[in-house]
Amino acid sequence: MKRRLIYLILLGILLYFGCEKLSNPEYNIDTSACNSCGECIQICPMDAIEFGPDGKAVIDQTKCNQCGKCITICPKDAIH
Amino acid sequence: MGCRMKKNILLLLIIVFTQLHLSGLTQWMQVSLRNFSTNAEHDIDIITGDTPQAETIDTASKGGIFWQHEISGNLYRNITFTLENDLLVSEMSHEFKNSFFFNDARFKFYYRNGSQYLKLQYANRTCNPAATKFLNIPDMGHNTQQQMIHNTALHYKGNHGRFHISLYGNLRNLDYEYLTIEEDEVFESESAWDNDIYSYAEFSCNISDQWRSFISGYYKDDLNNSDEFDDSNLGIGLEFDNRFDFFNALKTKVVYYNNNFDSIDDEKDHYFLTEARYTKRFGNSLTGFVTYINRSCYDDDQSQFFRISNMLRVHAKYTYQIRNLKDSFILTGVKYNPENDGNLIFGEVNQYLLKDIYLTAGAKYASELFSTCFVKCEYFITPLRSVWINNKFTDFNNKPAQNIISLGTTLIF
Ligand code: SF4
Ligand code: SF4
Repeated sequence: MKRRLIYLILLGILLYFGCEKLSNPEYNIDTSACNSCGECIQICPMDAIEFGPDGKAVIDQTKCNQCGKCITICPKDAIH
Repeated sequence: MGCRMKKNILLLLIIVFTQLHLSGLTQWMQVSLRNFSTNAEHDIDIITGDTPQAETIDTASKGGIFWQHEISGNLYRNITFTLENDLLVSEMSHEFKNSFFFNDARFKFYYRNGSQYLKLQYANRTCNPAATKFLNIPDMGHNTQQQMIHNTALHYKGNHGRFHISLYGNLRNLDYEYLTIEEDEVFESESAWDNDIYSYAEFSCNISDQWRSFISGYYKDDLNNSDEFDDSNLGIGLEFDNRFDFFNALKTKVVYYNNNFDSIDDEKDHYFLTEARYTKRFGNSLTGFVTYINRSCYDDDQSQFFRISNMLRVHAKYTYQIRNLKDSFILTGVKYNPENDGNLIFGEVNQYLLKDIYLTAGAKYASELFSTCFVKCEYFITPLRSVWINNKFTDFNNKPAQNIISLGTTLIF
């Protein structure tokens, strides 16, 4: 298992340092942290967030205008 | 109060109070009185109303009530249901909210039979226009007021030996008011609908006890606009999920999505998602996990990989007293998310005081966004009934600080 973890860490370092950052941010939900409270849905000005099949919030990237309001309101810091 | 809002609340009240007398139901209810205050020095002008008008909100503290109710039970054999409702009624204030008077209702019906699962959901949010802001949408150059949202979803999951299927469909309608502000301050508004259909299918196969491979398809059709906001993707991925022993567990997922959309950056046509979560226990008291999520993409035209976002979260919890009602614990963690300015550090402590009284306190510091802290004191009258008082203070980097005091009760019956 230690070897798997080392591979993962190496993959993370590669993905982080190996590529240039895209200019526009993109917000997504860490479903393992989301508690389905719905606060992000109530604050989103673009109606871009709804619960997905697993009951966790999902952001529709075609509607999101990257205002960042949801990241500030989330009590579980699940939005990144 | 809008007529639709009244009907909705009435419907909910009828449902709640007729169900109260039925047996076999579980209900959870939380009602709180809230007081909002801010250190803002200036009044703010917002636009609200059925017939849009400018309103000035002063900096004085404001009150409100928040009622959350959840009922779940068994309808018939394998069919269960959950009704959830959130109602907020408060005075307009400087608070970071779209609506100060809304009702959010969710009706969920589940069918479970061995390897088959079906969920039908209808959700509705009704906002009272008199207490709902017109929000400025900069890219579009206009203001919109969300008045009602309908959301109907159907989800099926089935297991057939090593193979699994998941099918999901969702129809969303947003009823909103669209506003053009004229120079002489005459507001012209029009009603409009935004309709979208979302569908998702996933087929997966358990390669072994730990490994699972899957393919997925997603399609969104914006029924209002031509094809501009349509979105679809095909995904293929591999997942590893293993609990090595009582103390160690690892879950990882790597997925490639081939995106097809017009309204998002072309660089994201080839999209890679990598997720890993390692959970560790040190004895019975100390637990923790590390989550790492990377999103990257490959642009054909530039023949280059791009980093979209990285999120690393480290979380540890030490439980030092196990009690019937609530454990006493200390929890701390950091989140590293530089691409979204989401770096933060947080901590929380829950402490048994005396005679069924508990104190919870926590703080968060996100250097680019906000810092916040809260203190909550809760008294359990019985194991299923409590009264509490909570104070939460948030200092935002780019707007005035706000403080919310809530006095509430939580009931389970
Ligand atoms: S606010 Fe955060 S925890 Fe709540 S539903 Fe949204 S993502 Fe999930
Ligand atoms: S960033 Fe803004 S528009 Fe995008 S999902 Fe969050 S709140 Fe909605």
